[in-house]
Amino acid sequence: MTALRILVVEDDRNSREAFVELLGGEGHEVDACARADAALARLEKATYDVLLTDLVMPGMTGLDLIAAARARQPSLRCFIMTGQPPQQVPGVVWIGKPIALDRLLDSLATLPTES
Amino acid sequence: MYRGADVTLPEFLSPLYESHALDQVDSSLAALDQHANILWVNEGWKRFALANGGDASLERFPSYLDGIGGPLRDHFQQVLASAITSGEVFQLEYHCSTPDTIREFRMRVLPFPPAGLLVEHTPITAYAAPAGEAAIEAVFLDEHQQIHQCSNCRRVRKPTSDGIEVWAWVPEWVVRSHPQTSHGLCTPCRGYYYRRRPRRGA
Repeated sequence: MTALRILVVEDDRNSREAFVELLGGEGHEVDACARADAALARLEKATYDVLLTDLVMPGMTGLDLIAAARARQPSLRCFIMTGQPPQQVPGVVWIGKPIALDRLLDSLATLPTES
Repeated sequence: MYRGADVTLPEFLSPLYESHALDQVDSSLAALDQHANILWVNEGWKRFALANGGDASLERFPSYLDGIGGPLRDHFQQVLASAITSGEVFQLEYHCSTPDTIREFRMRVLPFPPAGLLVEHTPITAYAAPAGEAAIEAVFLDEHQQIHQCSNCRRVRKPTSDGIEVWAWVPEWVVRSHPQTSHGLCTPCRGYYYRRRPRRGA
């Protein structure tokens, strides 16, 4: 699998640490933020292939974050991780919690990468 | 055999958990070897033992089965052995009431074959519909008006000022999450379900 630059945004510390550890263990470059505003600040400074964000967070929802993130990086591939019922949002992949890591990795593996 | 309060996590748990993180969990946790000998317990276990007239040192009960009498002992010996053999999580709800209080608990056995098991006991009767939805919400909403639920075991976290992780089952929210829920992982589920693993395809 090609290594991806992934930004994880998740307010739950246990989940955030688990994703960083497991995705990093698969060879991806992973950064993580606990809040959406911190993620937007990071997106000003660095480029990512994938935004993997929680839906319900303090201050800003994952969907609002995706809209703001895509204004900065239009090619960003976006995933919402949530235990809430999925919604139909164009260009956003919904992943139900609890996350099955193999399913997540399969989804990431199908993404086109920059050459 | 359990040898005292300063015993560190057994090797099959230490790569997955930090002992201070498990000590921050209010549930009673015990690490057992494959023969049900108690290797380690968390602070929640000791607090519960002391609050209920028990012995926090566990010197009287070197085996988990020593605290179980009659035919139940054989049953739980088989339960623990089966969890190790099958690698499947075992769950059981049971009553453990005092003369003053009716109490119900859920036991979870998380197997780490072939080395041992992590056993967790959590009270489950504290938060239920008779108290009213608004009263239950008031207990669990955090300062951002959000409820934090473990996406695996469905327990919700009670905000506390001392950093202790109190995770409780609210029956109404097990089946359908509260609309203001942010889903995450409790500490026992994080270590068990998201353990480090060999790189895929390596």
